[in-house]
Amino acid sequence: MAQAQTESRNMSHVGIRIQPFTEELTGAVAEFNRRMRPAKVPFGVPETGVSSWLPKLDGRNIHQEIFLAVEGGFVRGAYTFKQQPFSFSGRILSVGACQMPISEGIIDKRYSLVGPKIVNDALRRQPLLYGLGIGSRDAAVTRLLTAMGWRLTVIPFFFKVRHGFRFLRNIRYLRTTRFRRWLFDVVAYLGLAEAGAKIVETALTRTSSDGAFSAEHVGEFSSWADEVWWRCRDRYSMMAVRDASVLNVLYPAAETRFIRLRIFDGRRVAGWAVVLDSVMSGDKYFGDMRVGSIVDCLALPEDAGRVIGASVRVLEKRGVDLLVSNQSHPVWGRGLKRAGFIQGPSNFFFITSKQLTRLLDEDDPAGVGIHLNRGDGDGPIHL
Amino acid sequence: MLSEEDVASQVQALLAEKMFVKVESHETDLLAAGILDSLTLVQMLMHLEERFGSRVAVEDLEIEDLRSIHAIARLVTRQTRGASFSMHGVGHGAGAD
Repeated sequence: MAQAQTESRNMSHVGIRIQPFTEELTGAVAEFNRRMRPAKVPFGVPETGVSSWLPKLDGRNIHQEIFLAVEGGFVRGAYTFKQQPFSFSGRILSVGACQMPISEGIIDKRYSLVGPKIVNDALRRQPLLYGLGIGSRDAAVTRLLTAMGWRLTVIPFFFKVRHGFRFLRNIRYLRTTRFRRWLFDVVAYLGLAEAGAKIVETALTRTSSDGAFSAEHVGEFSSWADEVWWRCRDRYSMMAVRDASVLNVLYPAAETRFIRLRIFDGRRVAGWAVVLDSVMSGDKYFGDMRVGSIVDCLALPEDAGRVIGASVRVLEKRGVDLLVSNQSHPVWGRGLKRAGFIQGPSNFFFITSKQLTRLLDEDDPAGVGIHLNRGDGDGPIHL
Repeated sequence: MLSEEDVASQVQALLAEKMFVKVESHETDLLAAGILDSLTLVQMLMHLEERFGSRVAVEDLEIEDLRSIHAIARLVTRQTRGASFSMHGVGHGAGAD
């Protein structure tokens, strides 16, 4: 202990600085990740300073950067900072997302200040700051941010079972005890799951093909997406700018896993959706299921339900076992329910800095006009 | 103006009242004793701001400033005596979180 205290006191003369990830720190980052391994944090610090997803490029208003907490050549923490324009009922403001904050304070209390310093640094860069997708109320970062006065809200989760047998055999999230596994297997093998899923689907689905919207696969977003954006931008109290240029960065044509859908009401473009059809393999939640997800979408609130309906039909025709979506806005949630989805327990949290909370409270204190989904934050990871 | 020793006694009382932590001595190492982690540290800074009316600049803090009640008292005394104290506090205002 005495030696550790001496080391700590020596280190404290150096001080902890938050700085951008530079190439000469690559080795120190790898060493940090190695030291953090026993803490079983579900992510590490990327061992390159340039974001592979959203690199900082001239003329691009959406990008990610990695910042490191450095003490005398040692990395003691890190976070990823995503900068992106958002619309607040039509007013465009830059907003930051503090992603994957991690501190050596988790394993060594001598670095307990790293977490607060990281948050403070992110706030200095952008006071309008949020985090999205933090998976637990009990996570160290959640408790730290709420202690610092941030507001935590839950983004609802919706799901729809298409193939009951495969669902019950694979849903690892629910197959947590021996009894549950036995019960689910019995129900699955007796054929009750398929019948049950059909009954539930029939009972819950309230969309009809009358007046249904149609979906067309597109390779990229262009002027039609800009028109949708301009039509919708002041109809939500908060949403990330989703014009064609941003969408082509988030869902580039080269990424074949993204299914980009242009949704028509007759000949009118009503909106769009980005969906995924992912064959899972040993996934910690979904086992080996084929999971369809509605990742992102935009339309006027009055068209939301039918945009969901058209997107769901595309995924169902592809043969997915399970459909999932996280949607904050009530109209999108209602659209999912009309399409036969059930609202399930959600661990997808939206946490806002005091400054951002105040801004939201000015216009939408109940937060019912916020449009967020898996297209925000870290993007559609784990799907 | 409170002396450093008076401030230390008040910090000790504050830890007991607000955080239910009994610290035997002003020199006790709060980290080694397992009293401080990032969460309790933030809570303590907020209580200090509330009690002594000064904001703490997290970016300028080092862990040694918070290692013992004596160190905390020294920090508070230094900051409350400072003529100007421009900072991002932990619990208040823009960039303060």
